[in-house]
Amino acid sequence: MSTTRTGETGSRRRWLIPGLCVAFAAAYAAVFLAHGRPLAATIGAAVMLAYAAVLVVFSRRSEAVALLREDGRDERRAMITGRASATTLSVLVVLSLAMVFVQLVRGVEPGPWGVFCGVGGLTFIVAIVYHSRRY
Amino acid sequence: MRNDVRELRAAKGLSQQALGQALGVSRQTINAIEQGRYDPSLPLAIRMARYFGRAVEEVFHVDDEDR
Repeated sequence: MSTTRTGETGSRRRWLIPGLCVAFAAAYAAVFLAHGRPLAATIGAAVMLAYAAVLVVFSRRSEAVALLREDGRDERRAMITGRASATTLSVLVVLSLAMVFVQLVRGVEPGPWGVFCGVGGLTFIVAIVYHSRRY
Repeated sequence: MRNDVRELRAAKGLSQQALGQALGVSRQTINAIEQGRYDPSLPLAIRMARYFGRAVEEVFHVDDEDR
């Protein structure tokens, strides 16, 4: 009947997002350096490292930052994260559909926008079926 | 949905932080429940009621507009 995630799992999860930011910083630096762009490598890595630092430093002072860090999720925070994710996905779906129509009007193939819409629509249908049977 | 969480917490001399820790939720979640901005799940509502030694319906009160 637990409505929160605590203990070792929660502690590990607290460091997951900052750790991913550091990994992305290293990846950005490596990719840009491989293409001979040291300035872009520095800026890309610095932005990701700064974001990780903000998450670590301010997650105890700001609930919004704590949510971005997935710090100590309880049922309300899980709801907020779910709604924020749904809002984000809605914007991406509208943008992708708009871009598909723009591409079609321009007389070219939708390309990645069409793939994104197709995968998104299929995922939504599968998710609806799965969750309607589970709950 | 109205509730008496703030009064019950104050009667025990607890901070929102302490109550949150006892129930395994954040201080902000306790604050949101007290202000009526967030209705807890049934498991959390039961845990809260048990913590205060009350029945759920003694802590949480359904308004007509909630129906």
